[in-house]
Amino acid sequence: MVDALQEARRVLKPQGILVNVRPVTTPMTVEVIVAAGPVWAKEVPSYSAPEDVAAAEAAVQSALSCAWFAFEKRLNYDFDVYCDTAADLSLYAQARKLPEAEIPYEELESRRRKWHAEGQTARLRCRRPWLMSSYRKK
Amino acid sequence: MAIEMDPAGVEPAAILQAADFHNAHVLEIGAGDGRLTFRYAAQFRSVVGIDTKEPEIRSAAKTPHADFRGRAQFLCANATALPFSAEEFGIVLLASSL
Repeated sequence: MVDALQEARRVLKPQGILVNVRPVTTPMTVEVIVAAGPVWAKEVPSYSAPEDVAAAEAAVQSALSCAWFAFEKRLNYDFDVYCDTAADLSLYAQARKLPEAEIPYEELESRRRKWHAEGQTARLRCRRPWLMSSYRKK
Repeated sequence: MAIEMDPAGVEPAAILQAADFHNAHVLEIGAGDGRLTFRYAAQFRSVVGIDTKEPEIRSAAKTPHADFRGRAQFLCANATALPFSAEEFGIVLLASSL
């Protein structure tokens, strides 16, 4: 990871900006949502490999201590993924290394179908906490 | 649509707050299938997306975003051995790739 940061620094112009966007380890929310808003929600662990996040953070700190970059900005944001069914959410979770065992697929699908049977368009929403950090090349 | 990612555009908006991206030549590391690239590329002069996952990067290169033809390029490359000259880019974006 430090090698990648060193390469990023090499190809950046003087005073160029490195932007790092990544998931954070705080819990994410999975919800059943209808037109009026969420009708059921549960917090679940957001990432299956918190050690990867820790290693990435350590690499950034190493690059800062080597004075390759200077910290500029940090912004936390939540990004939403909407899925028509629990099966779709499972596909997304597999592709993004989400901790599938923690996601209550059966309950989500059961509640989604209940609302659907009552004539509401119900979908599932996964609200993921992410972080944008930026650094200026020294 | 079965899966809809970030319809509010929160992620590209967050990225665009990182710096003044107008007229920047951008390198995106971990571009994958270009899902994120095409959402912010209109703001930049040009962008090169790289990823080690060849099928995904091929998919990005084939995406028919005519508006970005000539300004967006995709390559299969590794972040630890970038096939670019020194001081080529104004911005490097690590897209969940550390």
